[in-house]
Amino acid sequence: MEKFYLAATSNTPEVDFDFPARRLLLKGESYPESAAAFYGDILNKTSAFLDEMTGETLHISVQLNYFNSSSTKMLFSLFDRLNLAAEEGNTIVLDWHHDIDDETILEFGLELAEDFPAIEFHAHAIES
Amino acid sequence: MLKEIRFAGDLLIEARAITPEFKNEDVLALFAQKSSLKNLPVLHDDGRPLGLINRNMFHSNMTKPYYPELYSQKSCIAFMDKSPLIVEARLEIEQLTALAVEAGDKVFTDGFIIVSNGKYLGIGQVLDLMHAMTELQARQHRQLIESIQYASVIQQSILAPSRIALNTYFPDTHWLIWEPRDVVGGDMFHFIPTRHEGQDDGFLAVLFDCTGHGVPGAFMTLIAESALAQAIATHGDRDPAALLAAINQYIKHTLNQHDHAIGSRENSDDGLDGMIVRFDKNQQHLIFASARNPLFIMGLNADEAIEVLAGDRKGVGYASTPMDATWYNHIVPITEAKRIFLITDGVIDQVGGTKKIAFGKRRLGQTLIEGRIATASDQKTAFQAAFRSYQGQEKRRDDVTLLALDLIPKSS
Repeated sequence: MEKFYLAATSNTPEVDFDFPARRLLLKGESYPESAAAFYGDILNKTSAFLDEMTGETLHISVQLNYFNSSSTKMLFSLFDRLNLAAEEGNTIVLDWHHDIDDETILEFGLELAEDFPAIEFHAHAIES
Repeated sequence: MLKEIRFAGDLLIEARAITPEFKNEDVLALFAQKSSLKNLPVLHDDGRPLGLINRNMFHSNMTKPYYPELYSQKSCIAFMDKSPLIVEARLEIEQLTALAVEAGDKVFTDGFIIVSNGKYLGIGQVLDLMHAMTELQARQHRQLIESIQYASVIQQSILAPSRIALNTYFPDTHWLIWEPRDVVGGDMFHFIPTRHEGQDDGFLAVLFDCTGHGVPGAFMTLIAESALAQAIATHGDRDPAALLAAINQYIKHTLNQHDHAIGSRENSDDGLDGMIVRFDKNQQHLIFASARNPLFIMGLNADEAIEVLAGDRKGVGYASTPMDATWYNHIVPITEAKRIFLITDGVIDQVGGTKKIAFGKRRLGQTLIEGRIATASDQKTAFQAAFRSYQGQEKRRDDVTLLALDLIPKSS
């Protein structure tokens, strides 16, 4: 499967899903007018990719400093799918970046870690 | 007032056209006669456009060595653009703009030919088209804003009874900030005083943050408001968890999110986060049920820390929330005066500060504690100043609502 790339806008994150390299990146802010429309394609492509993946390692790096509640739901769907891939024998590594003072983003990451235990979760506090 | 420009024909400039019988020396003479003449349309005998001669292009050819000698007596079609943009007068200017952009640079210098049923009428200029498009967009924007402003009147009317009830019940001991990001929004509050045996025994306060903001958010608040009214009619005003469960079912039914056959992602996956709080002053306790929203409780007298009580993690009404979902009634004894704060995530998640990160619960708690001894209205002013200063030049990300209520238990 090919790389999937979307440049960041003021209300959508940079999406750099390098499927061949097994590296996915979300970076920026997420509050599109329609989260379902923005994330629909991302979810479908990721799901199709994961269908083909067995016994491999995938890294996903999340560097978001804001996402609204509709995006939150979409992120849960994404991690739900990744968790499934992990349960099926793949190694999914989530690198969750947050500013050292940003407890809001950290808390959300910890919720994800709790809900999706098959994903290997690493929180990275960024000093700035 | 200027005529409203909607069609290509509205941009018409009558301009002289020539036929292929004209020679290049004739064109040279025409351009020489009139320095403002930028281009010359060339027509078939029956009036259909054949092409467009651009002044600069023509001159740059005719000044080449030997060209005058070679071409002066030839037909003017030699240096004519054979595929200018030709549009029907009845074409809408939005479509015309798309065609002009597609045609590229030359349309910006040469303009375009306007025809009626294929026959030449005149020419149009891109600058006029841009003026018309700007005017059209301003008009459409104005209509949209007026429409949303009127929707805001409706949304505020629905909230008005609760505002009045708050002002009556807590003349000086509450404060409220309700700031939709886009004139209308997805945050709503509801307040009703309750009575027991004819006596004031407390209240029911509700704060909901419906999915989305702006117009879709406002639609959701109307559904939430009806859901709440129906839930209270069925379950009374004393059991927050039962109310959330009933509202969950109502929203799922209303938006067809209960039926997988009808309710797919193309339809809707919407709902709300929020909190219902019941204060029973006789029982000296607070009961709250919450979907993903924290409740802040601050002692008014003592120098104690502000408490943040987490809600349940299930949202209300979403496709992923089961029809029979239940929420938990948290009971908090209130034996001395407290101030509680119901907030939507627009407060906590607002990006700002030097690091461009979320305002956050810790900073919110600190800001509220700093205003502990202040009166309700002073605390509101202080909070607004702190929040605005934190937001700084950053955009508002979401609707922001904060409802602060003083709880005074009946002395036992």
